[in-house]
Amino acid sequence: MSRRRLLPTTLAALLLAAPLLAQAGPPAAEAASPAKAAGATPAAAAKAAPAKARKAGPAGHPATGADPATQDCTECHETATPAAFKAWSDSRHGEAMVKCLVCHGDAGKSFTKAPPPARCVGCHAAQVASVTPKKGATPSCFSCHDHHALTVAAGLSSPHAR
Amino acid sequence: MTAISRRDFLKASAAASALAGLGLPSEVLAAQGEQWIKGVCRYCGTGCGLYMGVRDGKVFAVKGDQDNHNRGLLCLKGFLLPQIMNAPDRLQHPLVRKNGKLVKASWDEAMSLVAEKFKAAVAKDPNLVGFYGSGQGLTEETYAANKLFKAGLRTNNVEGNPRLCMASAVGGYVTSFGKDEPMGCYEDIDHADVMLLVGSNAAEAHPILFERMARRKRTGQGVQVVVMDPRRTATARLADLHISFAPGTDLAILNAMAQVIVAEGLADEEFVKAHLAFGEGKDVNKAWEDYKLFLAQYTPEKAAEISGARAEDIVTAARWLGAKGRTATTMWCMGLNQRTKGVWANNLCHNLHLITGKIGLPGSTPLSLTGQPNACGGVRDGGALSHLLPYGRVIANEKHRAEMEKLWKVPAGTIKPENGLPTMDLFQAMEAGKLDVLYVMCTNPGQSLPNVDRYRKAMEARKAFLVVSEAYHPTRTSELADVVLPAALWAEKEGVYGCTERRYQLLEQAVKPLGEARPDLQILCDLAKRLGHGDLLPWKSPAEVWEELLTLCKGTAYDFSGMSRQALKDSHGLLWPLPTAGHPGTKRRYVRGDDPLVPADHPQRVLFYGRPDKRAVVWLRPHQPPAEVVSAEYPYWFTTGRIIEHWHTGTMTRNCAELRQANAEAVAEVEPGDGAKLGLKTGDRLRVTSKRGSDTFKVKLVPGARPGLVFAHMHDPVHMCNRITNDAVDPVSRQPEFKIAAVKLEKA
Repeated sequence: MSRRRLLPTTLAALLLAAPLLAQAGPPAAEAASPAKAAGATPAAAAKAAPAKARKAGPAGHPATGADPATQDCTECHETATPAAFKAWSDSRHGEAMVKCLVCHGDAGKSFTKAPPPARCVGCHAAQVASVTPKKGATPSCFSCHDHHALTVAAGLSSPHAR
Repeated sequence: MTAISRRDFLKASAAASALAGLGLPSEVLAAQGEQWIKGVCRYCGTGCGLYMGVRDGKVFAVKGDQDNHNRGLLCLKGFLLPQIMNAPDRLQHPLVRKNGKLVKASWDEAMSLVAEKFKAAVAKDPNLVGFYGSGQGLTEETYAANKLFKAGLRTNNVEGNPRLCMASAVGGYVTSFGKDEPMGCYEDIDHADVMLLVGSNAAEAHPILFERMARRKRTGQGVQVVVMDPRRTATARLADLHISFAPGTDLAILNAMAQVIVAEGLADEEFVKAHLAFGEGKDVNKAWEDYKLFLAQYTPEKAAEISGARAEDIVTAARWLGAKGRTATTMWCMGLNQRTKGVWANNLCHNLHLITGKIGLPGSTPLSLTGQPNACGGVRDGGALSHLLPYGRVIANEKHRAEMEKLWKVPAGTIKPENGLPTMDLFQAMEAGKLDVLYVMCTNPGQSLPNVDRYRKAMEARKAFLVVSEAYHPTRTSELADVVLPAALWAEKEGVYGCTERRYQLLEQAVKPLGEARPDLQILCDLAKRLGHGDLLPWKSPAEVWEELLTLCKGTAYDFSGMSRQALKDSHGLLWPLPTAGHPGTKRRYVRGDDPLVPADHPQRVLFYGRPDKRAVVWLRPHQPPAEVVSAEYPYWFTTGRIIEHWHTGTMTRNCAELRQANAEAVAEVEPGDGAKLGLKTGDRLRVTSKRGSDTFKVKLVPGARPGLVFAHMHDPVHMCNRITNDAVDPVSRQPEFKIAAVKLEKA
């Protein structure tokens, strides 16, 4: 991705990121609804998977007919967003099966289109901490790293302390 | 470059502890009331180091430990760990069954009842009670149970779910090398020119180790990867060569690889002469020439005929693994262990490394991957199985029993000389009415046993008084219990985990137990006191237990007596042997200059000191079919396994919001050609039936899957693959053959 194309996306990411930073790291467990699944034993129903994709919240994933309990995000996204899928699939995240949910949350209420850099900290704490400000400003992870390929465009100087 | 000012950045992240915790000095953090406590991931046997972020008495985030073997990385399950802590189904008080229902009780009421049942049963016969523990319990608590039952109650009915998981790997290491546990380490992956993965879907079952393999493949020169698995798994994506074969025929392939290695002059004759012995059956009474004769029958063509693999692929794999001057690491997991010939399959992996001398060198080792975070440290090393005593000692050995009686300060003859009942026999004893009380700790046999409905019936019929110590309720086991004890969970207690590579690591306590939950160590000490054995379990803290363990391992092949609690606190994991304070630990066991138990002046580079003759054994193990094969009535193979999003019976992962939305329901993966024959399309429901039981699964047609084979996820408490799996066991390891069953399929 060219640097010029990267900029608007990054800005959007940061705008979204700021409020989300307040709950850094993975979101807390939701209060699971008590077991009510028909036909299942109480124990089983307690953790039964949702039957259908949740209705999207205001900031949620667009409603789909998919069944997230049995369908992987990639089953739709391989054709729906082929460039993003391929960039991820060929990346180190794709190689190591760091799947969509790690950065984007689930396909329901907790979906985040533009993940905050705080989510990167779980695995890349030292790298996040080593970012030094340039000209008084601190870049976001995605200022340099492509969102899905994670690669860095040629010619960028690293803001990470050596 | 788009950026925000550093001031704004810090302001935005002031509440964002994960970031602030990294960018701010510790004194600022402390002022904010936040702490990062060192621990280990709760899930698989990789044992990734992490820090638990604590705020307001709760774990709010985790981050990988940059200084541990995982280099700061966590898999997607580990990343979501904070959500398991305060889940709505955390059990916060004891439960006792009254009039058929589990109702809230006080600790004293619950423990008095448990003690009463134990006393009554033990008074009749100590073997009427049993303990069923876990490869997820902390070392200290597993040890407490082992000591209470074997030295206090005087029964050897002490088992654990590693019997379902690692028993064949133990059998393999013990028969080939004399002592359990791998000689190699994770670092060998970084030096491997060839990696052979057999019966392991590491990409999903051990993601962070797989990342290390992928990194090696990406950065090394000409690294070759062979994946042997009937399924084309996510792991196979890394493979230069994927060998698919009919389930249960890998013994023929592994023997054929050895045949090619010997026939093409790739064996290391000097190593063979200096370090190896040969055996058949139980006896080490064969020679190199006998082995060569034995191998002659396993030509690649013959193995291809048996397995359905291509002969040329078997030759290629053998040539790659055997190539002179190239290092090779073999890794395997449940695909080999959960088999009625699991020990033999393990022996055959060791054989490949022994005859080529590719062992004890950086990059060359046979490395069994472990499924649970403390199967090695707590159960295998700690000897918490029905035939074992701590640190390499066995019940059958009179001298070992006497040693333990002295160390435990109990009268001679206290430890019964007969082995207790292995897991499946223990549950069969319950079924037969020969077990009065079973204490289950940190595991879920009501979902995880093979042929599970058979054993659920025994539990439902209240054949034995069932005590379940568990962090969550209901589980498929706790729902059947007579007493459920609320156990403290990961991060709520302190203790040691020992992972795949002999790495011991301390998990520090980060938060208080939820509600009335108590650490299992505390619960067991209470029980011991109530049973009159308080003197055997006198400890006030897990650290005191550790002091005792240091005295038990001293002088054994497991010697970690230099690994003080403080050393564990100061480190990011230590590998034993580590017999003296300050010793850095041992990356490669049996290796001169690395392993302190090998004399520094030993004339050769390795010394297999685990066996009396100081030789490792190459075993002549013929191919044998699995216990159940396909037939006209049951024409499809059935196998089960992990997926990356979930873990074991799902009690933890299904509490993570994102994971409840990700492959939470078990599906059956079917090859599209088979699907067409059965009139199935993705999303349809399929009934899978074996001789033992049946369940239905949603179908997923998977292009490239092996025809004639159905694979089902193992984590779903509703659609339970274990209704179908086989409870036949390996005669040596007593591990069941979860991985292979014959089934019929019908559209449901």
